[in-house]
Amino acid sequence: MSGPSLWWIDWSLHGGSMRKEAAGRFLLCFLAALYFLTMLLSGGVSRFLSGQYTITAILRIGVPDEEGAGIAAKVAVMAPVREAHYRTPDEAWEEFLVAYPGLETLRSEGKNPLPGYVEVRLRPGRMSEEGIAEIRSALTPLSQVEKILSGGDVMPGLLRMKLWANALLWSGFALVCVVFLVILAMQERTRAARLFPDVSFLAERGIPGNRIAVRRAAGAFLAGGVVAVLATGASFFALLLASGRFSLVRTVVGPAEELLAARFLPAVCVFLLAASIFPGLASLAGWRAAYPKGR
Amino acid sequence: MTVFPPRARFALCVVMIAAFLLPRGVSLAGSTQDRLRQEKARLTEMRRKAEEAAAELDEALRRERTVRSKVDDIRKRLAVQQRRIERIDKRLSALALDMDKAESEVRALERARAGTQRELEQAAVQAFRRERGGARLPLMQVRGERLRYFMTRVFASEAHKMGRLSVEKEKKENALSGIERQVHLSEKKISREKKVGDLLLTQREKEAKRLQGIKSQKIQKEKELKALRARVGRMEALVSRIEREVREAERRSPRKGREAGPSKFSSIPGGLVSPVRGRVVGPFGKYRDPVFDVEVENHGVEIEATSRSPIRSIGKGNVVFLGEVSGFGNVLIIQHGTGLFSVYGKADSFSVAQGQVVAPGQNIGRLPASPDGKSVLYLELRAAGTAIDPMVVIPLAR
Repeated sequence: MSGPSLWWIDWSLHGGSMRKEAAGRFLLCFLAALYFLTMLLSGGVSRFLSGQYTITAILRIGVPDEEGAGIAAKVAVMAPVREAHYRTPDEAWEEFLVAYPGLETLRSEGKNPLPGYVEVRLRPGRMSEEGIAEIRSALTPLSQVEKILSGGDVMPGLLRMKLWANALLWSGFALVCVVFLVILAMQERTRAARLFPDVSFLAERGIPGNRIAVRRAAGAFLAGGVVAVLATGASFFALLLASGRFSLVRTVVGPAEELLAARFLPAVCVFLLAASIFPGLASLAGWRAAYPKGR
Repeated sequence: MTVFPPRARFALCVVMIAAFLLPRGVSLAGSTQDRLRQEKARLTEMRRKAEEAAAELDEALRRERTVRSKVDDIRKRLAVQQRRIERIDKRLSALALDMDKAESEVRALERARAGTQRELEQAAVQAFRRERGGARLPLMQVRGERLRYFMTRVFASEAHKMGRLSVEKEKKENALSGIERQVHLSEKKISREKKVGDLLLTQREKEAKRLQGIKSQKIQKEKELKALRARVGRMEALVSRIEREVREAERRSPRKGREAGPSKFSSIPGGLVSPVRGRVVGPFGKYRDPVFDVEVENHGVEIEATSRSPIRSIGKGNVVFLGEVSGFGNVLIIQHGTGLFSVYGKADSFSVAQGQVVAPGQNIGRLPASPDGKSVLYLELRAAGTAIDPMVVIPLAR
C-alpha cells in the first residue's frame, strides 16, 4: 500500500466507526463554529452594549429642527459612529411619556419643557473611552448643544465590565476548542491503537510507521476541513435563521447577514484552517500516544 | 339799588305835593285849610302805614329771597352730593367687579399652583419608581441617563412654573387687598356722603317749610299793600280834588301883583338843564322790577352820576319844599310855574332854603357818597298834578 491509500487507511479499515466519529466531529465543529460566528458578529457583549448605549447631545430650546438634523448628519459620518439621529422636542416628549406614563398634564399649558436632541450610537468595536471622547470633543464646541450625556461616572466601570465579559466569552470559546482538541486526540489515539495489527503488517513489509502517521494526518486534515466547512456553513444558516426569527438574537448578536462582509472573511478562514489543522494534529498526537518511540 | 314800592312812592309824592301846597301860604278859605290839614294828617298816617306795609313786604321779600337762595344752594349741594354718591357708587361697582375678577384670578392661580404641585409630586413618584426599578445596574443607569435629564428639566420647568404662579398669586392677593381697602374706604365715604345728603335733605325740607311760611306771609302782605294802594288811589283823587279847589280859590281871590307863571315846562324862561351829569338808569312809567319781580310804576326817573356830584336846578323857580321823605331821603321841591313842580330826591344834602328863588343850573345840593363811586338822583316832574317823563323835556342821556 502506498500513496493516497494510506491517507484513508482509517476509513477503509474502520469505515463504520469513522462515520460515527465524523458525525460527532461535525456536531462539535458546528457548536464551535456557532460560538465563533456569534462572537465574531457580536464582539462578545460589545454589540449588545453599543445597542443599549447612546451618547445624547441635548440641544438648546429653540434650535430649529433643520439645524438639529444637520448636526446629526455631520456626527453620523464620524468614524466611531454607527448611527446618529435627531429627535425633535415632540419626539423627546413622547419618549418621556412612554418612560413616565401619566405625566401628560405636565404639558397642560401647551409648552414643551423638553428640547430636541441628537442620539449617537457607536460602532460595537469603537465603544471605548477614546471613541466617546472623540464624539464629545466634536459636539462640545457647537453652540446649539446645551449638554452632552455620555454615561458620566458609570461609563468607565461599564467599559471595564465589557472587557471582562468579552474575555470570559472568548475564554469559553477557547475551552470549547480545547475540549474539541482533546476529544479529537482521544479518538485518534483509540483508533491508532485499534490499527496496531494493520500497522505491524505494513511495517513488516517495509512501510515505515512515520509515513503512515503523516499520511493519516493528511487525510484527517482534509476530512477535518470538509467537516469544518460543512459545520461552519450549517452554523451560519442556523444563526441566519435565529437572527431572522428572534429579535433578541438580532439585538444581542446582530444580523447574521453581516457575516458575509469581507471584514469577517479572514477570521472565518482562520477558523476553518484551524478546524482542519486540529484533526491532523490530533491524528499525529493519537499516533504518538499509541506508538511511542522505540516500539 | 333801593326800590320803593310804586304805590307807596306815589303816596309819598302826593304827600309831598300836599306839603308843598300847604306852606305856600295860599289864602284859602278856612274850611278848605282845615280840610287840607285833616287830609294831610290822614295822608301822613296812610303814608306811615303804607311805608310800614312796604317795609314788611320788603322784609318778607328779602327773607323769601334769602330762603330761596338757601334752598337753591341746598338743592345745588344736594345735586352735587347726589352726583358724588353716584360717582362713588359707580366706583364701588367698578371696584366690586375688579375684586370679583381679582378673586377669580387668585382662585385660578391657586388651582394652577395646586395642579402644578400635584404634577410635581406625581413626577417625583414616577421618577422614584423608575429609579428604584433597576437603575442600580450600570447599564440601566446609562440607559436612563437621558430620561433622568428630561425629568430634571421637567422638574425645573415645573418648579419655575410654580414659582411664577406663587409670585403672580402674591401679586394678585396684594392687588386684591388694595381693592378691598379701596372698597372699604369708598363704603365709608359713601356712608359719610349719604349722611351729609340726609342732613341736606332735612335742611331743604326745613327751608322749604320756612319758604312756604314766608310765601303765605308775602301773600298776606301783598293783600295788605293792595288795600293800601287802593286807599292811596282814593287819596290821590282826593288830593287832585283839593288841588282843583286850591286853583279855584286862587282864581276866586287873586293876589295883587302876583304874576301868573308858566304852565308848561317848555315855556320856563331860561330853558331846562340836566340836574346832574349822568345817565338814566330808572326809566319813567311802568316797568317790571327785577328784584321783587312785580310791576312797578315810576313817576320819575333815576339818574346815575358820580358820587358827591353837585345837583343843579333844572330851571328858574322857588323852593317850595325841603325835607326828608321816607324812601327818598332828602327831598327838595321847586315850583317853576303854575302847576309845574320838579322834585329832587335821594340827595345827600341841599344848599338852598325853603322859599329861596333859584336860577337855572344853580347848585342846589350834592349827591351822597357811595363805596362804588356811583350815586342816584331821583327826579320827578309834575305838570298840573300829573307826573310827566322828564326825558321828554330835559336832555338826559340814557
